[in-house]
Amino acid sequence: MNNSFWHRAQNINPKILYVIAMVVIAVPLLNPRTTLPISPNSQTKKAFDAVESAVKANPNQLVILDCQWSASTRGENQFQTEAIMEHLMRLHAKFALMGFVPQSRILSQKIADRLAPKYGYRYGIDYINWGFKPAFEQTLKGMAVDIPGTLKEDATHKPLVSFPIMRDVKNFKDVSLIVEVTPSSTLDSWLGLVQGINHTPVVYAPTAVMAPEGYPFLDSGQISGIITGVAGAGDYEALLKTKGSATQVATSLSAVYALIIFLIIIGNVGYYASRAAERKGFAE
Amino acid sequence: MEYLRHLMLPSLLFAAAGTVAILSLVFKENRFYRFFEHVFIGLATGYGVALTWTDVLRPNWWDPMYGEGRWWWAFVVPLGMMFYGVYSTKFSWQSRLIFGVLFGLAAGTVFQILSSQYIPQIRSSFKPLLTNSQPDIAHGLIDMPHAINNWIFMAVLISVLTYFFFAFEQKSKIVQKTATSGRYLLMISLGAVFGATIMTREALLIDRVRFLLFDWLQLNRFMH
Repeated sequence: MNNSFWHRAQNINPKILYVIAMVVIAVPLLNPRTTLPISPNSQTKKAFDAVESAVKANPNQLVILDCQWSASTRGENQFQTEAIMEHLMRLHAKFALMGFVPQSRILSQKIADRLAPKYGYRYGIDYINWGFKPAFEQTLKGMAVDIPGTLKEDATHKPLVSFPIMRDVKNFKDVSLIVEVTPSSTLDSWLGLVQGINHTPVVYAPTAVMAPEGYPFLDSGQISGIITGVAGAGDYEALLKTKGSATQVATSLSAVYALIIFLIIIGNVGYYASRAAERKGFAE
Repeated sequence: MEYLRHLMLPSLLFAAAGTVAILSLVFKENRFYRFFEHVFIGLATGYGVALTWTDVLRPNWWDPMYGEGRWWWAFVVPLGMMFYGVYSTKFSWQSRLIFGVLFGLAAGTVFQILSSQYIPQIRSSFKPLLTNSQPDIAHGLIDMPHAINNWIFMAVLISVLTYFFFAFEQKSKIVQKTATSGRYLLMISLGAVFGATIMTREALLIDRVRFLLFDWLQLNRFMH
């Protein structure tokens, strides 16, 4: 009885499962034509619309793209940052990159460097990198009063006031939108210290694990949209009508999710089938 | 030849070896993994120390004090040293003083965050149970989908709040049943969080697989 298919289905060697998972991940990546059709969810659509309407309503105001991520969550946050930055550049929005995580200064700049030539974006005129700043909440409080005075320098240690893009930027009243790309609980501070006071719209782009925490704020209107992890980035790319890396990764993600669901079903059916077989054995 | 040179680029090779080493743990604990784990810890610590100086202390404290003549920044050193009083019974009172100031500042900030973060939450929880708020619904008609949504919201809110109400013993059957349903609803939401956690972990794994396949092995160049 212990050698039955269902019993074995519950005791598959995890190493075999890891190898299968790797193959399932790699196959869609190696076949760029095998992308699944993406139907963007309502949260991502709201985020997309919020970016669109904030930029169109206030074309001369700045958008803050706050990248709170490091290499450890690159697998999700990079694609979100890339999709949003591409959207901002298409809309010819002026934006500032910033981060309270040291690595984000470099990682977000790399994305900007890749996209800027495509849209003719010039550093200091169309966008700027405020760089890494320590003391998150204290910096936000300072920025509420005086952004150039609080941040002082950009990522290359040049005075902020020397850049044309910063000419009319004094505080959060000169900011049309805040996009928070993060793997941490940083949304609370943005909502508490900025959105709750200035009513600046906030779009939340967390890693998937953090996304459920954002739903109550979406429901209450405190945030204008959620881009959930790499799946959200794939949705965003679909709204941009482009098929980039996020779409490819989202396909791999769907494939590996299908595998996990299949294994859960096999495991559970196996459990009930072997229990039924045991009961039958006892009855006989 | 050019491809081989690319494969052997020290920075890429090191990153690829590190990725494979860390992933190898799922198969078996091994020395290759241990070595790269120690390398990673060493790098992270060194990076953190260097960064504290280059991005925090130097621009915010050393340069203003030494380069711009703001000598009064020197007084933050004894204040900072007071934190280390926690390691001595004789000087622990000093650490309590400085921690007290820090806690006071943090508490003030948190209070500000909580009030402007949660008051809108409370406000948004007052939802009309009979609604015709949609503009295309004729006056007097109930917008059923909207109303059902609000009823579900209200039932979930009351159930979960009841579960967390510990001020008195829950003796009434109705209260007990409501609290139990609140617990089940919380378990459903925790299940959703767990599903999302797996999504994140898988996405991070996919990124490393992409790095190995495309950035290092450059398999995409053979696909076209």
